[in-house]
Amino acid sequence: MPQGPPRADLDQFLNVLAKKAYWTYPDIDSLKGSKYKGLSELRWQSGRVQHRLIGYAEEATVYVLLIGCTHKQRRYDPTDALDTAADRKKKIKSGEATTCEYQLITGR
Amino acid sequence: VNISSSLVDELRDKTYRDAYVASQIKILLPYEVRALRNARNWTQGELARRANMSQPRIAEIERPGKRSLNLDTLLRLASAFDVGLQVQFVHFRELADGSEGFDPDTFNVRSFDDEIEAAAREDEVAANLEAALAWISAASAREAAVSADRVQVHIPLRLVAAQGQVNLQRDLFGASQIQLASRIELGQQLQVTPAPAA
Repeated sequence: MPQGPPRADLDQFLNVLAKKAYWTYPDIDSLKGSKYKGLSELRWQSGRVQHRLIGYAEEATVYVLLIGCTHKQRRYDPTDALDTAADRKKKIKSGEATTCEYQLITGR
Repeated sequence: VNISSSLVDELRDKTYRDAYVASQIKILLPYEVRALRNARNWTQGELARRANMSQPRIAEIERPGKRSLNLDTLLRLASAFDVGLQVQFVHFRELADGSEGFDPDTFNVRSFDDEIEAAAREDEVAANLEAALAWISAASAREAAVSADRVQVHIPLRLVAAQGQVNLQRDLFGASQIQLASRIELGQQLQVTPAPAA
């Protein structure tokens, strides 16, 4: 997870998404390419840096976060972020890896 | 805000605290703009026209964190939506409460004209509420709430059953009450029928 201003922006962004009934573009976009079918990215920006959280919708109210990265001029950093995400999804689906609930930063 | 919440833990760090203040503007305001535009069924192009901006700029403004919003931009948007804009220094508790309470799907602020119309309607409904409650009988209504276009009255079930007839939208509300929600027009007489068996 990012730290400093990006972290606060991310917390705020996720809190808003958690309240929304439907996630739509530009907050979320599906990844292109058969290799990444079923994967999508949550999109937000902090300062001049575009951030992405790659993941997939498990069911109506569950979204699995696989990896965080930045995006600039069609390039992801780290460069293998999408492949890592696809690999992690495969491992979760096969039972080789597990998930845990992400704790939103809230005032409650 | 809960003093032992994860947010308060984070806010103890000055760097996060400052970033949190900025994130209210950078992240929440774009969602507010989007919500206000959607509530009015405007396209980005329509908002752009009204705010004298370009459509791509509106698209940027609506993307969380994408663009720094300065006061001049906010004033132009407030004018386009014909709503008030308040900028003030506040306690962190107020800031956090505002953030927690923000709902991107339902957020809306009426335009000045709509506000005036709603206030007039509230007066009208409030005047009629008294007559409606008298008809229901003073003893029957445990509580009533009035808003711009809706009156909600909670009536004990036994009384509803006693009244006979009805045609209002209704839902069972607990074991002993029925909740009625209906637009009440001036001069309209409320009709209440027994609730269907649960």
